[in-house]
Amino acid sequence: MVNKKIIKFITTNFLALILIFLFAFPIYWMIIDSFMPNDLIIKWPPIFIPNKLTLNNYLQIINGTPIIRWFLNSIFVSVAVATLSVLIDIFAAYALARMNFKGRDMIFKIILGALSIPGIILFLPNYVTVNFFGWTNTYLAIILPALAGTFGVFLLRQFFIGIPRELEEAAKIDGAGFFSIVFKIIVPEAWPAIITLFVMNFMGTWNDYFWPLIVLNSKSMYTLPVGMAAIQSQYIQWYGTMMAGAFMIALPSIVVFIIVQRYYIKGIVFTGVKG
Amino acid sequence: MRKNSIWGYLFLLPFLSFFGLFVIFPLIRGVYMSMTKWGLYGGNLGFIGLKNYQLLFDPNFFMSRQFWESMWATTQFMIFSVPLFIFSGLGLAILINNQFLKIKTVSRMIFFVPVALSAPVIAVIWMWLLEYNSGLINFLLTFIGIGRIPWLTQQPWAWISIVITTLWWTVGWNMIIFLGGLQNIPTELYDAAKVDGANSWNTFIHITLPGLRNVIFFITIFQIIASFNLFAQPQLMTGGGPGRSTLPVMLYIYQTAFNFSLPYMGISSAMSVISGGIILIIIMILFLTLGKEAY
Amino acid sequence: MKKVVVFLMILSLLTVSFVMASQIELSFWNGFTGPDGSYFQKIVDQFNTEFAGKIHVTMTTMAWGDYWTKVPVSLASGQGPDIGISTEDHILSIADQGMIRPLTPYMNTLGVSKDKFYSAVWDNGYFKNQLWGLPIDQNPLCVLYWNKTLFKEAGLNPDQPPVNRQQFIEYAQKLTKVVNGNQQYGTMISTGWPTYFIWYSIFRQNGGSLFNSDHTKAIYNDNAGLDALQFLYDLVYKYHVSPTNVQVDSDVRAFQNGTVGMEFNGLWELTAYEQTPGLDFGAVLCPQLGSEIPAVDSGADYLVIFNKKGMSNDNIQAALTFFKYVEEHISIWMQSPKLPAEPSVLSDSFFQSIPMLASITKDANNIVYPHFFNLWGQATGPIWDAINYALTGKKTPVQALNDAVNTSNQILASQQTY
Repeated sequence: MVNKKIIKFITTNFLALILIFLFAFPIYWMIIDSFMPNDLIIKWPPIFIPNKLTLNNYLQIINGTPIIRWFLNSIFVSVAVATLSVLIDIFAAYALARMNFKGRDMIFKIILGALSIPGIILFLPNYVTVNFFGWTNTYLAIILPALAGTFGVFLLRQFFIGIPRELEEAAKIDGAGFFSIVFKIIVPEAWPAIITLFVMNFMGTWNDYFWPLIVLNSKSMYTLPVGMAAIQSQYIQWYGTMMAGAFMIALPSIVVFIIVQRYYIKGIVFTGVKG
Repeated sequence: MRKNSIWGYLFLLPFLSFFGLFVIFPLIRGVYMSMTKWGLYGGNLGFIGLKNYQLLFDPNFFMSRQFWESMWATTQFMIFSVPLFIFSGLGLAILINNQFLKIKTVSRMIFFVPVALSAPVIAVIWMWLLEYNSGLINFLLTFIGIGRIPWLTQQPWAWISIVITTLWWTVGWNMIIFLGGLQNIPTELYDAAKVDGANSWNTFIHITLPGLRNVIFFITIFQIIASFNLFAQPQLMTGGGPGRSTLPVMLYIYQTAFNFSLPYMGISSAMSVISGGIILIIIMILFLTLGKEAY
Repeated sequence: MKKVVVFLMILSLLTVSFVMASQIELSFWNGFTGPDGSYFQKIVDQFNTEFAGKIHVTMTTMAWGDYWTKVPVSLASGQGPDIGISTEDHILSIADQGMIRPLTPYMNTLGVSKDKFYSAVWDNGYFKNQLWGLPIDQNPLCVLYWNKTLFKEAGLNPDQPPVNRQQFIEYAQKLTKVVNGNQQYGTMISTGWPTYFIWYSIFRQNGGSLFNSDHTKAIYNDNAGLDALQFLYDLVYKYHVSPTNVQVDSDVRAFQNGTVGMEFNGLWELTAYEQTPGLDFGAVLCPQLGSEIPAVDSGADYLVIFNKKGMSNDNIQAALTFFKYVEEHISIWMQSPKLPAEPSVLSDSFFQSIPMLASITKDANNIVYPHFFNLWGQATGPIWDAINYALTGKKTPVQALNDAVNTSNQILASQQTY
């Protein structure tokens, strides 16, 4: 019996170690190669331990692309989307969870149904709309369509429904209006869900590629994912430079992720397990 | 009751405005566009009824062939990836959940970190690893005597490359959801099974899998939708090649719509409607057949 | 006296502010990403310095694929660039769609006329009795690079590349041998990029024409096309002077590593080869490997003025001033590297100082351009596949070309239905 347990222990941990190695290695390789000069990187056989490390690739990216501007663009739109969507979703979710008005459940069903509309049908007409208003190549083109996301409304409504009514009843007796109730009672109670939504929308906007690709025209307006594609085509064949660009773009994502992973994971689990 | 009404609508108004403008309105407009000739530069060039749809089902029209080829490419990717990603996610979750594992948190984080990256970044990283002449993987292959493989320029390697890249990127997502699901299964069930003398395989089949029913169902739906949306990896890694074999429908519609010298936006809309409709039907069928049990 | 001084000061302030306020801003877009773009940026920077206060040009670069989406879209919504670059394959489409202004009324201001330019590149930008773009360079797609050291070792004159098909095969055979245990090849024919351009050059050298005059039928599976493809196929499978299944860029690496004697590629590889330490090589435009007339496939760039809403006559004049400046300082751009669009650039001393370009340019009269039309890009796509199928041994050259012609015809037929 004991032997079996030891074998299981060894195999499990060994398997995990191998998988960790396989998963982490691409990132390691990207980082290492980003410090290698472009002409050494294509040498055959590959040089594993370069005797000549260089920051040249990073300098090329900083001088050759507006990467700092891309970073600022990404931060701005991600924070804007996360903040604004949380705000409007809180109100919409409260209305759907607590208020009584004609058509409430119908509206909720429509919103829920919209979750199943494949995005592929919407992107072209949305593009035409954005173009029509002259929002192409502006932050508005990224921010405004993202505020139509239904996931947040759904998430918050489910959460709000679970909040004990007594708290609101008590506040109503004290004469509190709707705004007070929302901000002084609902929001504090639902804080974990709200943060989770904020984080999910932030990451979603931060990593979005397809939509910014089609609505952003000039290089200075790109977000980081679109910038990565631009670096790939600009420095094709110059793999060291490409890796430097990739690392510079991946790093903030990884840092942000490590900070918010608790909430990000909560959000994902909610969608899969309770959704 | 009436006072409530106004407030209700007011609270919903901001969200509903965006929802209406960017979800409901484009749904209608997309269908309208699919029945027009529409140019990127020229705009609306006129209503043509169902002509776009007719052409897309006409085997002599070259875009029809290319469209259905792209649908087949997407289908192939879905076949290769959906079961694989689900089982891999489950496998990783079971590994992490295993009582013998000492390095739980580290493992979980490392498997999940690629999810934090955007599609172009992972495409670039793997493009370099799989590069024919100087990439690391081909070096290892020549080192052990197999020789270089044209990962991005020939089949079946092109699909394998895209699948592996996407697996590395998103399996963590499935893993996390499965972990949540696993932890939801009451431990009493496992204790009871042990008492009855069940081995791990039986426990897995009769307790774990049924307990994960909901989760498996929803991950399947998510995976189908995510695989259907395949875009960045083939765009940046294989260019849709060799030939058109890795050109998925999302990429094909993008290429046709944004071709400025020809008024193809209308027919691209028709393609969107057809492909979107097909995936919608598939999901509906899944919901109606298996979803009933899940609920 | 004081009053006069004050008055003069105010007057000069007003004049200065008036001049500053009337500095014309031009936005200039192009696809010159990467290191070559920095040469064009130099011209732009120099121009801005010389014309400070009068005209300021802002240059933005993006990948060509993006460029051809973003430009029409921004123009359609009233924004977008004032001036830009059009490559040789798009100028007909954008003129057709009304996205650019004809330059014919300004030919005198620019000081240009047909006889100043190589006729092929001029004609590609002059159609429907209008000049649509100012040609500024030519970018040959078929350049023969040869390794002088390997030539010497094989007993060949290192300064004389092959000038016809027979010599090419002969030299390639002499260069294909085992050296120090490694297989050396006379040449390497890639199964993908950029072999289409080689094929097309030989095809035109055979007097071939891709389509009939009204673009309703593809006719490139005739003798001209078949012979060109068969020749490339034979290099691999009959004469064995090229390895099989050459992947894209393997030929470039091999040339840099000195394991292949002759290599075909575009002019753009010149920089990479020049920067390869220890590589002693020569470069010349594609020799006459066909049977009729010399021909070399090429790209080209044209300066164009976009039909942007609200463009004033002052803006147009400013654009023309910029164009003229670029033309006068074009040698700076030639470093990227490019061949000139005008023969007169050959006598410019700066151009002569750029390594190798002057000697490559001596054959520039052989440069030809395809006859473009709206569906040209789509309709020639199948040829790339055909070349790939033939060179990977999956189809015979005859089969490959016939299949491609069928697909091309289908594409062309859609011109009737859509």
